Formats: sequence, C-alpha cells, structure tokens
Amino acid sequence: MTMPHTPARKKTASPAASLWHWFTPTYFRAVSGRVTPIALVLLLVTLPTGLAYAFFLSPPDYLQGETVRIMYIHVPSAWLALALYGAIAVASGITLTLKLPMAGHFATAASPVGACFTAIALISGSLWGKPTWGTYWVWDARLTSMLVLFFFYLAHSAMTQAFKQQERGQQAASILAIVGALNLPIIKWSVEWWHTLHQPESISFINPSSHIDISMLIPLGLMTVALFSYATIVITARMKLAILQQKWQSLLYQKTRNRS
Amino acid sequence: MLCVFLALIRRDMAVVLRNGQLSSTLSFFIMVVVFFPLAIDPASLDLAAISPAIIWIGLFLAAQLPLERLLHDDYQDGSLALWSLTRAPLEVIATAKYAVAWLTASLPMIFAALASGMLVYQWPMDAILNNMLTILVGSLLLTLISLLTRCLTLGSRGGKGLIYLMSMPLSLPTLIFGAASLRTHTPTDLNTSIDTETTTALILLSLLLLATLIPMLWASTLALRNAISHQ
Repeated sequence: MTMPHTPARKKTASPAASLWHWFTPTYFRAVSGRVTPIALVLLLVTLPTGLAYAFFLSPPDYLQGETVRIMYIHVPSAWLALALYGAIAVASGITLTLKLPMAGHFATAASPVGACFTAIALISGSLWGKPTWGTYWVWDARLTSMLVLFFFYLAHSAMTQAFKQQERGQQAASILAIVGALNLPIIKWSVEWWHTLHQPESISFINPSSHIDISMLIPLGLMTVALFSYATIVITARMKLAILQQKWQSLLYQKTRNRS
Repeated sequence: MLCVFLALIRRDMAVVLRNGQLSSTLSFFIMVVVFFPLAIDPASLDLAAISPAIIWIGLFLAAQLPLERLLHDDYQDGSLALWSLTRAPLEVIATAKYAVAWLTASLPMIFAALASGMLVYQWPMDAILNNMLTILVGSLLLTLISLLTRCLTLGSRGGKGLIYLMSMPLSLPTLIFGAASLRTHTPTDLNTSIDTETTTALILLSLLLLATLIPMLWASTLALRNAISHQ
C-alpha cells in the first residue's frame, strides 16, 4: 500500500509522471490553498447578489406568480446533485484503475454533499409542486429518479464509512458508484414507463433557442455559481481533513509499533 | 475449471441442505405473501391487482437472505482467501456462489410464488407459463444484485440496513418490469392490449438480465477480490 503522505515521486520529465504528481496529497494541499480563497470570494459575491436578484429584483412568473422563485434554489441544487454524481463516478473509475488516493478521498468527501443537494432539490421541488401541481409528490419519472439518486448517495456514503480500513471502503464504494452510474439511465428509462407529469427542461445547452428570459437567467446563473463554489469549499475542506486523519492514523500506528 | 465449479456447487449445496437454510428462506417468502392479505380487508379489494407488488416484494426480501451465510461464513473462516490462492479464477467462485444461491433459494420460491398466486390471489390458469418465466428471469436478476451487494459488504461494520439501501435502487427496474409482466387477470376480448403489454415487459426483463449478467458478475468478482485482499 502506498502511503499518501509520502513525498512525491522522483521528478522525471515524462508527462505521465507529472500527471501522477498532480494527484498526490502534497500537491493537493498546495492547490487547495489557492482554490479555496477564490471559491470563497466567488461565494461571498454571488450568494448575496443571487439571492437578492432571485427574491426581489427578478419578475414573478406570468403563470406561477411568486412561487417561481423556488426555481433559483431547486434547479441549481438538482444540477449540482447530478454533476457531483458524475464526478464521483469518474473519480471511482480512477480509484479502481489507477489507484490514486486523492480520487478516493474526493468520492468520500463529495457524496454527503451530493446527498444534501439531492435532498434540497427533492424538498424544494415538492414545496414547489404543491402550489403549481396541487400535490407534494407524484410518482413521475424525474421525481422518482431523483429519489433513487438520493438512495444511491446514501448507500455510497454509508459504504465509505462501513469498513475499518478506509481504503477498502473507498474501493467498495467506487464499485457501487460505477454500477449505480451505469444503472441510473436504465432506472430513468424504466420509471418513464409511467405517464410523466414533470415539465420538460426550459434550458437546454444543446438547443440554442432556450426560452427563458434573461431576468430569470441572471439569478439562476448567480445561484449556480454560488452553490458550486460552496460545494468546492466544503469538499476541499473534507478532503484535507481526510488526508490529515490518514496521516495521524499512520503516525499513531508507527508510535505503537515503536513502543512494542 | 468446470470441475472446480461443479465441486464448489456440490460443496455449497451440501452446506445449505445441512443447516436448514432451504426451508428458512422458503418459509420467509411464504410468510410475507400470506401476511399481506391478512393486513388488508380481502373482501373490499381486488387482491389480484395488488398481487404482483406483494410477490415481488417477497421475492426481493427473500433474495437477500441466502448469500449472507454462503459468502459471509466462507469469508470469515478464510475459505474464500484459500480458494483465491488456487488456480481457479475468482470469477468461477463468484459464479458458483451465485448458482447455489439461486438454486437453493429462488428455484423453490418460483413454485411457491406460482402456488400462492394461484391459490391466494386467483391468477388465471392459462397465464402459468408467462408468470413462471417472469418470476424465473426476475429471481435471476434479484439474486445477481444480492450477490453484488453481499460481496461489497463482506467484513463491513455496517448492518443489514446497508444491504437493503444498496439493493433497493438497483432492483428498481426488475421490480417495475417484473410487476408489469405478471398476468393476474383472465384476459377478455376487450383488454387484449394488456396481454401485449405483459409480453413487452417480459422481453424487457429478459433483455435486462442478458445485459447485466456479465457486468454484474464481473463487478462482484472485483468486490470479492477487494474484500479478500483487505482481510
């Protein structure tokens, strides 16, 4: 087993070695020291302006009235939940194939954050559904797949904590994450067997003629940036904590071994 | 390799038959299936309409049981680690465990499910082949998911809740297509479309099994290898 806190490998000119260097805890600490202040500034700028825009400056919807303001929380959280699951799946692939320790730390750190944002998306969605659809919950394809995603997140984060050895938990969780990522399209497709009530996306990254007004797009963008920078700060901090814990544990192990 | 596979199956079958696991899984399933109508007023409801849900939940819960002993005991006493040192690939060991779990738990349950469907929920007699195929394919899928979750949690501190938390979302497509392809009413001339719908669901369920069988066995082997290397 390679100890993550061992100094970076000998410097060689090959690009593969420098790529490896990128993923070492030493390098991560240096990068996170620079990323966290930037993300913090972004959060402090975009969150107040985004909230002010969302709640006061943007117009109410002509159909839904004031309740449309839930969208500025609901949509960015849902995007973040999906993006984090994708990132966890990629990191899990790296954990299983290249065995880079930082990838496992990332997946461990990101999954409770993703679970929280999935929960926020579900709760805000059901609160939005009551005035617009007349019900808190419907067994619609998209709602059900979000609920399943929430269960996946719970299982994944429980898995990372379920073993005495951190590495074993991370490997088991990464297998689960990859199987889950391959299964989510099947699940989505299978629950679409029922008639769907959810409205189709108003914003499409592929379709250029997205029909949402700029006065709603600005707060949505601001809130998305705010939530993404918040997630960056929290995940970076949790990853740093994981590195320190592992270091502490190995020091403790050495100390007890020297004594005996 | 086939020799190893058969020897493992014979050994595990003997273990299962000796410690009475066969009857415990079966009686658990029958208990679930029989308990549901007792909790509902049977006169007021169309029991046949909700029978697919009951049968599938029973199959799902019972499918989690057999691999607990089969894998966990061999992991604890080091048999799995010893077998992994032999020339037999771990894939063969995982497949043998899968086969034994299905043969000892799901195969008897297919007949129990059909019998309870006929007797308790008044399924039509002419749908017996369709329903048998459905439960056969579905139970193969459920055991496969159970194999993966059991291999992943070998030696974990997490309780049984973790198993169900993991297998519930993974079993969702099986549950949906399986419930849709059970034929619970006698088709009349008016609703022949129901027949084509159940057939479509059965085909989708079979496709799901064909698509996931090899990847899931492979993922289980990977999980098993991880578990053994960290023992």
